[in-house]
Parts: sequence; structure tokens; C-alpha cells
Amino acid sequence: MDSNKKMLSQTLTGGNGIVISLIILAIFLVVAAVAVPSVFQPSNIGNILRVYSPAGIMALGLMLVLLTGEIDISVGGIMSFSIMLSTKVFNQSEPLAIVLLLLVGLGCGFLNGIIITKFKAPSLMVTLGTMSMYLGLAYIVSRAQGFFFTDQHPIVNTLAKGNVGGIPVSFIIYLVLIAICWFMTARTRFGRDIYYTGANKRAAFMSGINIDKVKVIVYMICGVCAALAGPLITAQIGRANPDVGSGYEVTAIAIAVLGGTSLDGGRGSVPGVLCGMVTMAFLMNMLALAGLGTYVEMSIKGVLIIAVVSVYSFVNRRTGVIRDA
Amino acid sequence: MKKQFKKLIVLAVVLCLVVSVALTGCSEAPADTAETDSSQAATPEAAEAAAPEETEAAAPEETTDAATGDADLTALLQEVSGLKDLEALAFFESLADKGLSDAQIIKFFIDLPLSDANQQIHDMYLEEGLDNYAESYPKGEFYDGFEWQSGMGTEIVGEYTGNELKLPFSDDYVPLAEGAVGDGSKTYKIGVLSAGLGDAWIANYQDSIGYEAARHENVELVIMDYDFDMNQFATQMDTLVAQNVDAIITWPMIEASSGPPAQRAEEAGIPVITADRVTAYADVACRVTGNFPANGAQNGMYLIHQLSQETGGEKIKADVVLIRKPAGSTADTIRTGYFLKVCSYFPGINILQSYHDQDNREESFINCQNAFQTFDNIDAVFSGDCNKAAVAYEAAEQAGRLNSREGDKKVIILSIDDSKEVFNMMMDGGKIEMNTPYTPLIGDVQLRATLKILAGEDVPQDIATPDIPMVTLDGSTIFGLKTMTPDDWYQYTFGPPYGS
Repeated sequence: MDSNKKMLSQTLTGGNGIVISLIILAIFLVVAAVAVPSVFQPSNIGNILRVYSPAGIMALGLMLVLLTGEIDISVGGIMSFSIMLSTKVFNQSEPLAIVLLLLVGLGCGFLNGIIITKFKAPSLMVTLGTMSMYLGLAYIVSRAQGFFFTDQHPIVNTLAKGNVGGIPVSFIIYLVLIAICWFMTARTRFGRDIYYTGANKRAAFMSGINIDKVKVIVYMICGVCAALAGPLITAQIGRANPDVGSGYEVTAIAIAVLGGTSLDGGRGSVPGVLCGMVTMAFLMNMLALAGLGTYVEMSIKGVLIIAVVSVYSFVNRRTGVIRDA
Repeated sequence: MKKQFKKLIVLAVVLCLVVSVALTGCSEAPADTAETDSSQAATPEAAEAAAPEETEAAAPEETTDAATGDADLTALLQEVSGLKDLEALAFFESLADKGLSDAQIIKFFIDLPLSDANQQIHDMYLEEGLDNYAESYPKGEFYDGFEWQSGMGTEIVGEYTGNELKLPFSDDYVPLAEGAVGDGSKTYKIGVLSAGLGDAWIANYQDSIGYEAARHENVELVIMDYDFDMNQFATQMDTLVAQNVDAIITWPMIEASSGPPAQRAEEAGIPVITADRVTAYADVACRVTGNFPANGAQNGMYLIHQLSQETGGEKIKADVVLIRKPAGSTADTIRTGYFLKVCSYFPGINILQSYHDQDNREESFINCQNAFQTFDNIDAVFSGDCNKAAVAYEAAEQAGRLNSREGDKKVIILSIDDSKEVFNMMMDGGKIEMNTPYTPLIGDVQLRATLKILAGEDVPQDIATPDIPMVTLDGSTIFGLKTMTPDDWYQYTFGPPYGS
């Protein structure tokens, strides 16, 4: 059993995902400094951190799922459903609404995890189904009507739009979650179990790890993160719509992958996700401020993401972390 | 390992170069140009329609308009076409003394020919093919010479949303008596191809259809929702044809891609009736058109008037950002085009940048944030709809730029559509200065026209929705047009109650 774990550890420590993430981030920052210096204005940095922190929180939960070798594309649906259900009580009690929202996220994640582990169903297909289900529920509970966040909702407005010492509150929340997740993955047995589960399921099982339990828990964490992102996004724009989460799963996956998380499982790091979020935020912002026009920007974004992922793939193959099938 | 490291460095440098070239090479690009909807220009109808526009741009049409009168308007348009800047402003201001009705004044600004006084706007208008879009958009008449008056309409509770609404044109416009229609022994199955019931505008449009259907016991709706996906639009249109419904009513999001499915339905003998937007297939049974031209033109009127007021009529100068809807959509091309046409008379109007999104509020918000970050001289934001206006305010406030104009004046935010949200923002200390209404509550008109067609009545192919005067904070008079106050129009606004 010990030899199995040793072998897994060697595989895991062979990578340098965080170093690559930092290199890529540095490249983007250098390019931005040369081509679009306005990116570095303090007000702009505050804006992009505020706007992208919710997606970063979502990516953080998703990264844990990816580490186990699974995927969750229902995060956008969870976000929509949880925020629309909680709007039913936002006018009565904000704290209660936030608790409800987190419980809904937890429950949705639990359901995902249970179906995937008990039915041994592929997570891609299961969460594709639950994505549609949660989005449908968001429409049903809201009767397809949006909800306005106004001055009557000071807590959520502060969380989404407030600043402490010039730093967006939503980014501070993100950093706190990063710290918690980093501690969990790097300093606890459960964290190690997550990596082992994704790196080699069979070996993990042989090592006595309850892989089903690990997976259910990470799906629950992922659900909570997705739910938490909801109010942070919607309060910024003043309105929660039932389709608010649509498309965020792609952004979250992109952030996780930009941060060095492998879609094959067992590889990735919490600081890497932070790098991924900052990289994505600067990339998008840099393209926008360059004044290229919406559709040119869209195309270049795609090219750059492909380029970055190719760099990861290239490096991982060269260092032997990913072997040809 | 050393070799691998070298390869990595080379790869990084190449990536760096590609990004740098892309950014520096394109950063001087002008306001982005939307791709012209080629299918429109490609059709014979569009080609025919586009031809006379070149003449119209140089000089207004010589024809008269039976509904509004007016050989007089043609003469006025002829007269203004050679003016620019303060001369044009003086002419606009003189309209108040010419005895024109509000409808005629709106029509004057809609029909205003494009000017080359502002070369940037002139070129942008033509490069984006906005002349083609303007020409191909139906210019319907008001049914039976109808004139809308404030206060008209019917209060309902939307059967789909539960919202309390007031339909501005029920039951006076295209009137149809309650009870069975056509052959009373037959049940008429009407296919409803809805765009996306999760959208508040569309959901309330659906409510207005439901209201009218409920008035006729032999009408049954077969509702489908293509959720803003034009592939689904085609599939669902074909499904309705296969079900052999009696007629299909729809709100076609994109003209080009909705054309072939509409054509297939018509060729199968099923009349298609569109509302608001149009399909590229022009021979549908009926088109209930919205007042997109009036939206854009009135936004232009307000901007010029406001700038004139600020300087005592001495200068018309502003840097403007356009926060637009998806390129190629009727709402974008027509609203923006008519706005630009009014602005084209004033060389001092500078368009800083066009931003498009996919009708997504988060994207609009990020676009607005980027605009305020990129430009430190924004005087006005033209918003393609009320969502964009609301987030433009949010973005300006968060950027600390609300009062960043010369003399600490507030950034002017121009809005279109009429959600309760935007009207509340207007009434909340003038967060938004103006709005040109665009009601979704026209599905009842569309269904009445449909039922008349099925009953064998003669219905014009194009039925225009009456142009509604803009709403300003104080209901002031602008170039002779008496505007409404937020209180005047609030009863007709759509969406859930604000703050609930």
C-alpha cells in the first residue's frame, strides 16, 4: 500500500504546474505593460479583480472536482438555481437568503456526487443533465422573472461591490477561500486523498481511500462555490436573471485549465487557480482595452487560450507528467 | 533538459510576439464595424430596396406620406439636408414654430437624410451597411389611421409571468371583437415561436399574446421556445409546419437565419406573422413592426438638445460610446443607424468606440467598465437597450466617473426600451436622463392581425406600431416634440415590480 502511495507521490511532484502558470501570467503582464499600459491603473485592476473573482471562486470548486478525475459542467446551473431560489427570501432576510443559497449549492453538489458515484455514471453526462435540470428549476422557481438588487440589500451589495482599503471585497472572499482550499489540499489527509483519487483511482482504492466519499465531498464543495459566485456576480449588475449562470461553466473550466489543472485528474494546485483567474482576467481586459472590437477580441481570446493550453501540454509531455496513451 | 528549456523559451517568445503584434497592430483600429448581414443585400428584394437609398441619402424622397401628411415634411427635409452644426441646430429648434404635430416631428427625425457634415459618422454608417438595414426595414402604416393617446390600453395580469401590465394598444389598435373568430365551429391552432421565455421582455410579449388568445374560445396556442438559438428556431418552425398549425406567429431574433424557415412555412401554406423584428424572407403574411427608427432618432434628438442646453446653443460637442446589441440584429442596426443619422449633422460628435454583446447583461457591464477605463473623456453613452443603460450607470458609478465630464457634469446615459427598472432609475434622482419606450406588449396586436387573416379579412402586410414620444425627467419639449414624464409612461412599463 505504501509503495503505491510513493509511486503516486512521485508522479504528482514531477510536475511544475504552478511555475508554468506564473510564467504565462508574467508573459501576459509584460505584453500588457508594453501594448496596453492602462491595464495597470489601480481602478482597472480593482475592476477586473471584482468582476473575475466570482468566476475564480467557481473555478476553485471545479478544480477540486477535476483533481479527482471528474468534471462538473453544472456549475452554471447551480449558480442560477441557487440565486433564483434564494431571491424568494432576499427581501425578508439577507442572511437567511445567503444561508439558503449555500445550502442549495451544497444539495445540488451532493446530488451530482451521489449520482456519479452510486450509478457509476460518467460525470460529463451526469452534470450535463443536471445542468439542464438546475437551469430549468431556476426558470420554474422564478417564473422566468429577474430579481433586482437595490439599496434594500446592503449585505450582498457590499460583498459584490464593496472595497476594503481599495481591494474589492469579492476578491478578499476569493483569497480567503484560496487559503482554506490550499490548506485543505496541501496540509490535510483529505487533500492528499483528492490527488490520489484523480491520479490513479485503482491505486487510491487499494490504498484504502474511500474514493466515492472523496468525490461526493468535492462535488458538494464545488456546489457551494458555484452558489456563492451567484450573488457576487448578480449584485454587481443589479439584477439576477434565471439564465445568469449560463456559460460560466466554460469560464470556470478555462480558468482552472489556465491555472495548470489537468482534465485527466490528479494534477493542479490551488495557487495555480489563482494564477489562472488573474491570467484570464488580464487577458480579457487587455484585449478589451486594446480597442480591437468585440468580435476580433473574441477570436484572439480563443487563439490565446489554445496557445496557453498547448504550452502546458508541451511542457507536461516533455517532463513526462502526461504520457502518450 | 537544457534543449527542452530552450524550446520552451522559444515557444514563449513566439507567443509573446503573436500577442504583441495582434495588440499593437490593431489597437489603432477605429470603432468596430459590424459585419453586414449579407443575406439581406443578397436577396433581390434587398438589392432593389438598397438602390434608392443612395439617392435618399443625398436628398429626401419626393413622395408624400398619406398618414402624416406631408408634402411639408419633404420640403423641410430637403431644406435641412444641406445644413450642418449650429445651422442644423437652429433648424431643428425652428421646428417648434412650424405647426408640426408630435408624430410629424418624430417622422421628420426618422426621415432625416444622412449628412456628411460629420465624416466619421457618415463613413461608419455606410461601412456598417446601416443604410441597407434602414431601407429594408418595413415602413408600415398605422392601421385605419390610428393615433395612440396616453391613457389608452387595457390592464391585465400576465398569465405567464403574473406581472401586472397595461397593454398600450389593446383593444383599440387592429380591433377584434371578443368571442369566437372566423369559423366558430373550428378550433384555430396558432403556433407561437417564442424567443426565450427567460427574458423579461419576451415573457411579457408572451403575456400579451396570451391575453388576446384568452378572448377567443376557438383559439388554441401551441407554444415553443427557441431560447435565442436560431438553429432551434428552424427546427421548431419545421415542427409547427409538420403539426399543420393554422398560422405561426413569431419574434425572429436574427433576420438572415429566420428567413428560410419562414419561407418553408409560407410555401407549406401556413401564414407567418412576425412582430417587432423581421425575417429575411419578405413575403410573410404580415409584419407588425416596432418603432426602432423612432427609438434611435429620438435618442439623437435628446443628445443634441441636451448638449445645446448645456452650452446655451453655442456648441455641439461630445465624445460618445456606443454600447450595442448583437451585430446584425434589427434592434442594433436600426436603433444605432437612426441615432447616428441625427448625429451626422454635427462635426463635434465623436464616436469613441462601439461595443457589441450577445444581449447579455454581464457582458454589457464589462464592456461599460472597459469603456470607462479606456476613455477618460466620455460625455455620453448610447445604450442599445435598457439593460445596457442600467449597467452603464453602475459601471460609471463604480469607476467614479458619473460626474467626470467637463465642469463635473454627469455623463449622459441614453436608454431604449421600458423596463420598470430603468424608469425607477430615472425617478431616482435622474440616474438615467431619458428613455425612448419600446413596448413588448404588442403580441396582442400580432395575434389580432393573425386571426383577421384566418377569418379572411384583408390585412395590410405591414402594420406599424405607433411611435411613442421619448420620456424625459421633466417632460420637456425638445425641438417641438412634447416628451412624456416617467409617470406618464410608467403604467405601460414591463417586467416585475422593481425592488421586489
